[in-house]
Amino acid sequence: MTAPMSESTRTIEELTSADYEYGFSTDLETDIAPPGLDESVVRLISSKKDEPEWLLEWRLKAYAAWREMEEPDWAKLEIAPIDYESISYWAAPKQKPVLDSMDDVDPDIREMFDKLGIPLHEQKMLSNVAVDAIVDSVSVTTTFKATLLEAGVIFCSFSEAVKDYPDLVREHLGSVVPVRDNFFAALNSAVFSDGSFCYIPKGVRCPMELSTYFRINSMNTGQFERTLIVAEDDSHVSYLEGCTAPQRDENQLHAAVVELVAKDRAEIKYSTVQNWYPGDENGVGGIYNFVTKRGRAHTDAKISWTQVETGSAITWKYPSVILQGDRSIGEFYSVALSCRRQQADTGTKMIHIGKDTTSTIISKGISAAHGQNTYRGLVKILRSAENARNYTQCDSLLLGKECGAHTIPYIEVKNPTAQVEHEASTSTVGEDQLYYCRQRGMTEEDAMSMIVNGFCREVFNELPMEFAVEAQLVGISLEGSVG
Amino acid sequence: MTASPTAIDPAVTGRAAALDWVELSGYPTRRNEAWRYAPHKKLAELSFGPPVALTTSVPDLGDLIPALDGPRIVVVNGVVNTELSTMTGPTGLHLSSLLDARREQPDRLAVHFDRVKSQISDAYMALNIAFGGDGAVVRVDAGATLEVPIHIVDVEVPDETRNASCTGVVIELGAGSSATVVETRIGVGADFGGSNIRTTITIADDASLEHVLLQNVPASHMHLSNIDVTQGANSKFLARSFNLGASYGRVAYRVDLAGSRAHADLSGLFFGFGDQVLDQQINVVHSAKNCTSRQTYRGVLDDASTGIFNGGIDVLPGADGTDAEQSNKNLILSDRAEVNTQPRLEILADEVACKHGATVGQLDESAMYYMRSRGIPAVEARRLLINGFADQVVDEVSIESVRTWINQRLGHDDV
Repeated sequence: MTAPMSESTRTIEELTSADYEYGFSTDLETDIAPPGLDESVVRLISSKKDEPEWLLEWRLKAYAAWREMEEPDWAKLEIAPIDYESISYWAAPKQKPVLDSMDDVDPDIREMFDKLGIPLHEQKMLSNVAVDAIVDSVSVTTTFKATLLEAGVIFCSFSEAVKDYPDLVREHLGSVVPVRDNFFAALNSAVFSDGSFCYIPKGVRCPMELSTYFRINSMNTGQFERTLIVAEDDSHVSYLEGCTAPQRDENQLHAAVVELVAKDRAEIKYSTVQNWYPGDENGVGGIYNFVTKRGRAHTDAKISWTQVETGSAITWKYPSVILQGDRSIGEFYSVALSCRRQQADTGTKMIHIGKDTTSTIISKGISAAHGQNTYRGLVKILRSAENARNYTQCDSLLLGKECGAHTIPYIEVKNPTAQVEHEASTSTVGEDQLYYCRQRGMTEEDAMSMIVNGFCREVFNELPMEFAVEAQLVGISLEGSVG
Repeated sequence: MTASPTAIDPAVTGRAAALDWVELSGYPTRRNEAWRYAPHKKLAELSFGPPVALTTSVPDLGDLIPALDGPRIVVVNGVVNTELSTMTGPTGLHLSSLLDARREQPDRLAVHFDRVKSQISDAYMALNIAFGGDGAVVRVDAGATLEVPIHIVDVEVPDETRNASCTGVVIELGAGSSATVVETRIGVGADFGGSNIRTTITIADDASLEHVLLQNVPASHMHLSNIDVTQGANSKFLARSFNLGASYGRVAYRVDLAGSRAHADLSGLFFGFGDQVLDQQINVVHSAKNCTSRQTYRGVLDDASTGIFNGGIDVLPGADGTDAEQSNKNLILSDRAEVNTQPRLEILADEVACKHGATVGQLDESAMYYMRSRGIPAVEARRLLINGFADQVVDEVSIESVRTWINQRLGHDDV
């Protein structure tokens, strides 16, 4: 007789029917700009943040570019038209005095994090994780800064970085995702509110996992974070990004940009658990998530993206790696779950430029209820990329009659020495699999949960330990998976 | 495009509508997924209109086509050449020119040409409907089993008009029948030209068709082909395409598995030299329950050629019990060659098992070494490996004389 499954093991059915647990809204006094976007709003954001002239110019350039661009329509997403004029592009908690310790943090905010199960004060003691907590658009508090500074690591909000390390920011901002890259990246570049900046000096191995919790809070506020991570030669960093948003009826737009620069022999591991409000079972509400994530890997560098995407009504996200240096490595591990009426169009781009570059793509898509899940990926081997290697595996699991799973890979090879392999499968949970489990004393729900976890295991294995709690948040318990 | 399409056949209103479609929707661009890697500039140099009859003598077909005895229809520059054609065949087979068939039985043929806007995939298909005059009609009676293959030959001899002839091929298989149809597309001369051929196939319940497409027009031509297949319950469709010629050679299939337990098996080889662009666009749509499909495509790209494979498996809602697979493997032989492969799966049903795989690589070093270490010269070893790779598809063709013809084109003297 098999031991009873742990209580924390939750099933897909529960997951798909459960109400969003994090759908509360904390009543913070917020400073909000009137809806609409024009040049004056860009200037307002810049002046509110007391930014230098060059950054304002950069924003204005992006705004001008965005004005001329068209919203992309190639993704397999059915989206009600987004009215960019009805969104407010600036929201910040009212100015509070500078805080000395965690106790000074606004109790409302602390309570909010408590509800999420990540109490900051406990986190500081229990885990070795520094948290740069973002409520709406402005960083409220940053922990572990001192410890990090000792190692020479800079980990701060983007605004602080602009003030304290303008040269570093100026050198790398937009170097991986240029302002004209795409519609949403241009929009972000024009109006980004805040975000995280991380700099690992030469030869330093970051002493702890860095983590940011994004939290969308204010009604009708688009979130436009900007993350920039620069890893100098021979350095190493692991970065965690977790997201949860309160329940709202109106769709909220989120357009973030993440840029990673891995210099020679550096390694960046970027992990995301995205659990934003997916909308209700009728497709009302939910976050629209349009994210541009890209890394540039120099000689012998390695960039690894791991993502667990379970939230948002719309997900449009393709974390990519430009394998520029010789022998550089790119990895992409993804679990994307769409249930209710969620639509996810996500995947990766691996651009092989350098010689002997290697990339690995493992994507697991799960569709349930009315969910639509699309893997869209590009593997591009340029003429210069001698001996490039790529291995891609995308598997889809269908749990229900009304859902859809789609795989749309693009493979473009211009070098005869390349070895590119792509494998994909789409299947359902077999009756025989369920029968086998049930025969051994499991309930159908436990069996289903176990099979789904087994399906995702290759990706979950890539998640840092710190995300064990997050993976529970996701609803697919790690405990159920067979080892 | 000065001529009026209704001048060809005023009875068919669909022609004008198709031309309106082109006016409205325009020509495909790089933004159209199915035309992403096509040479649009070069395509724009073609002109389309009613067939331009050949003014010179018809070239000797002799070695240009596979040696097949039996019924055949030869179309030269979009017009059926009755002298070269043999319209008679075994009992149960009805062959005729498309022009005659549309005059005599307009209603019967209408189903192949009346297309509502949403059924027209692109401007070239619309132009074919608008300007297509002649072509071949193959009809097989219910229950008939035809042992001899039916040969449809399209010959293109371009002149200074740069007209791309729009030709139609209609194949109808009655319930429970079986047949083999070989379509050979060739041309002569070094002048720029093209052909735009649309084949519509209906396979009734329990019927079975092997359809072989041999595309080997000169490198100065562009070749567009569109094959539209509808399958009934328990039917079988075997497609074998060899996309070898043309500066741009395009082979596009849309196979609709409309009846339950139907089976479609498509395989193809594209072998590029020079600066050829060889494009395969495959769409297998599972719209009924318990159907099976298989796609096997192999590409070999030498010199500065480009190979394109865009293969889709679409499983529509309700098509439970689908079992579909797809494989595309490519060999790049030169550092100027290029492969773009896009194996797509779009699944909207439950209880399905679909898989696809794609690879791009070069000749196996260790296999080369093995052969060379046993005294086989490098050139010969290379050829053996390439032949072995291509044979995975060539061997699927059931007719020996067609295999021989393909092997000669590929330079397999040893076969």
